[in-house]
Amino acid sequence: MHQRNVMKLNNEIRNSNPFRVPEGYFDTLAEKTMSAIRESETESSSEDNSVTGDAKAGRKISLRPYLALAAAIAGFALVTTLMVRLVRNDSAGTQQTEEYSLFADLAAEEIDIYMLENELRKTGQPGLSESFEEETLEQEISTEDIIDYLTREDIDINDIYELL
Amino acid sequence: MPHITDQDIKIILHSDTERAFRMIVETYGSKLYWHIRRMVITHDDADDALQNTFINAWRKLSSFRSDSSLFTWLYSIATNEALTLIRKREKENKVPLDDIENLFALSPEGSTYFDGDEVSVKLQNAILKLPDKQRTVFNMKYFDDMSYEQMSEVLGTSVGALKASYHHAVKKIEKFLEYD
Repeated sequence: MHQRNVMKLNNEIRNSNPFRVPEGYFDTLAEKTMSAIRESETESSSEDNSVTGDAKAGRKISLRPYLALAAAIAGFALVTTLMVRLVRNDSAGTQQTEEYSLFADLAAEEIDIYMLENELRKTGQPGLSESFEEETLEQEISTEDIIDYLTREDIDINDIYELL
Repeated sequence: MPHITDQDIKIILHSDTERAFRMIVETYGSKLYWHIRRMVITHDDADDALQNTFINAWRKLSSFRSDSSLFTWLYSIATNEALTLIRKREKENKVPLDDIENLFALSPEGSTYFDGDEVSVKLQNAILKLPDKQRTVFNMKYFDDMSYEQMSEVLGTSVGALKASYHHAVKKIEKFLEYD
C-alpha cells in the first residue's frame, strides 16, 4: 500500500519539472551554439597557424620527431647496455661458478680431513705422526691388512674369517 | 515552423552543413538540454555540457553514418558530456555530489533555477544517490520515456542489462523515499 503511494507520488511528479531556465534561453540557443562552434573553430585553426608560423620562424620547432628519435636512441643504448652486461655476467658467472665449485671442493675436503682427524683421535690413538695420518688418508686399508692386524692381536683365524 | 525530420536535415547536410547543423540545434537542443539538466542539476553546468555536446557533434559530423539516427547519436554525445562534467565536479569538490542542497551551495547560481517542492527535492536526492549509469538509465526511461532499444543504442548496453538497471534504480528510489 505504502509502495503504491510512493509510485503514485513519483507518477505525480514525473510531469512536473522543478528545474527552470533563464528567460528566452531556448530562443537564443541556436545562435549562441553556432557562435561557440565558430569560436572553437577559430581557436583550433589559430593554434595550428601559430605552431606552423613559429616553426617557420625557427623559434618553436615541433618536438615530436626529435622526441621519437631520442627515444629510439635511448632504447637502442639501453638494449645494448643490457646485452653487454648480460654477456659479462655470463662469463663472470661461469668463472664464479668454477671458483665456487673449487671452494666447495676444498671446503668439503677440509671438512673430511678434519672429521677423519677427530675420528682417529676419538679412537684413542693420539700421537700419530703426520706421515701416518697422510698414509692413512691416502692408502686404502685392505682386507689382508685387517687380517694381519687381527692375527697380531691373537684373535683366532677362524673367527676372523667368520667375521669377514 | 514546419516539422523537420532527420531525413530533411541529412539531405541539407550534404549541401549546406552550417544550415543543417543549426536545424539540428533547433530540433534537438531542448530535448538534449533537459536530458543533461536532470543529470547535472544546475543550469550553468547543463549549458556548458550542452555547448560541448554540439561542438563535439560538429567536429564528429564527418564520421556520422547517414543510416544512423541523429537523435541517438546526439543523445550518446550528450550523455558522455554530462557524465564527464559530473566526474569533473566530483573531483574538484572532493565530495560525493549526492545532495541537491550541496550542489546548489557549490554552484554560483545556487537554487535560482530550481523551483521544486519538498517531494521534488526528495526525488532528486534519491536519484542523485544512484550510481552514474543507473541514474542515466532511470532518467532516460522515467523522464524521457525512451524505449529500451533506443537506450541500448545510446549507451551501448544490452536491453536485458538496462531493464535490470532500471528495476534496481526504481527499487532504490522507492526505498529511499519510503525511509527518508
